[in-house]
Amino acid sequence: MDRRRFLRISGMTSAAALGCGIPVLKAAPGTRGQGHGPAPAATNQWAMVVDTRKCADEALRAACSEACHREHNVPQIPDHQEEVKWIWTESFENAFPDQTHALAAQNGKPVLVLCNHCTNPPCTKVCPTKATFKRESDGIVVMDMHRCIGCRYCMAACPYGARSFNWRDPGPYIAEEDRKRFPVRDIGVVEKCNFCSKRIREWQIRVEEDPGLVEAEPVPVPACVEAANAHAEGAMTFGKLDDPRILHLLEDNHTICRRVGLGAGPNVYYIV
Amino acid sequence: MKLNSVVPVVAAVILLIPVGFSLVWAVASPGTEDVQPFLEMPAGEDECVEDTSYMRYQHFELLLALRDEVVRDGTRGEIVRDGNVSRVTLDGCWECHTSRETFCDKCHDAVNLNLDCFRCHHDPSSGQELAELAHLSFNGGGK
Repeated sequence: MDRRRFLRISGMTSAAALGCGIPVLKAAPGTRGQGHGPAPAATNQWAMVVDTRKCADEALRAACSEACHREHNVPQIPDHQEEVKWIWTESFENAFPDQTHALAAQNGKPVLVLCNHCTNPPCTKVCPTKATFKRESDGIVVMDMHRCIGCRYCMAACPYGARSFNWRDPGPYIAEEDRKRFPVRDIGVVEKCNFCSKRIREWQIRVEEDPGLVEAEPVPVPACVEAANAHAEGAMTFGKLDDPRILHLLEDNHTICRRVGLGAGPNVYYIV
Repeated sequence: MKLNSVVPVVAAVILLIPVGFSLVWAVASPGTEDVQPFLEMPAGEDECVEDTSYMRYQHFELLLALRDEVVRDGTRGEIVRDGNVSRVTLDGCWECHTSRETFCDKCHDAVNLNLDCFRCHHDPSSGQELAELAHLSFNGGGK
């Protein structure tokens, strides 16, 4: 076999092999699960609807952040570079950079932002120790501080900047008395909003012990939602994705999510 | 017998004398029992969550299992004693074990183990000096 003939045969063989492979690749069902379009979320997923019109009130947003940060012993570190935050305010164009334009009227308006507890969370995929993971029972993206090694891959992966690193020991910023309410974190771990999973669990225990309670208290109320609704009823709504209250809000209003094009499937919805 | 073969034997005997003495000392010494710390039962209680031998050697496995149930599974770990089910919360632990010094630290100090639980979790005796942790910073305090 001369060189020219060898090359021709090997080229044809490669092309045939590639040709056979393409349909297989195409047929692989949802192996990536990413890209444009809504990622399907389970109905047992906890979700939140934030009414940006009602949350325009600065006092409301301050109360909201303070309630969360107090409840979870989030240290208020004055140094901006070391700050830790679970829920805070961004301007519209920073919260929704792909859903605005330079002349849009909503630019500059404040938006409350927090962890989106994504359906397809990129942070959990990069975590080398499974310290952060999506809880199957209710879709909350949880942190197990005991496992976090502080590599901050999750911070790089999160497209919402929802995670903070403990650059210094937060202990001195938290009174010993407050630790009874919620554990503080240690230096060198990442933290973020947990959708008030402690409140959710306490609510579950209350309902288990007294099923009639579900009438008066149909869903657990996170600290931020409680504080926001004390200022303006309906500013924030918390519930499962199959909760009629959530579904009605999503049906009746124009709602958007942050950076849906990335395919993470955020579960915090904004009425604009 | 030549001197050459006697010297090593004598040397070996001389070297082994202290070893032998220390073995005899260790066996004969009555103090070994006292080294093990004694934990007092909490007031009003007459038994542990599990057998003493289990708690002594495997309490951390129990704690880790309960921790994973709470933190990772989102369920509340439960402990059954005398047919009574009680939910596991840290506050529940502290209801009986009211002092870190006389409960946790007593054994861990004896075996020279440092517990880091209380860097984050509430210390029941609240004697922790937070100020001593204040100098710690991940980047050494500077930028």
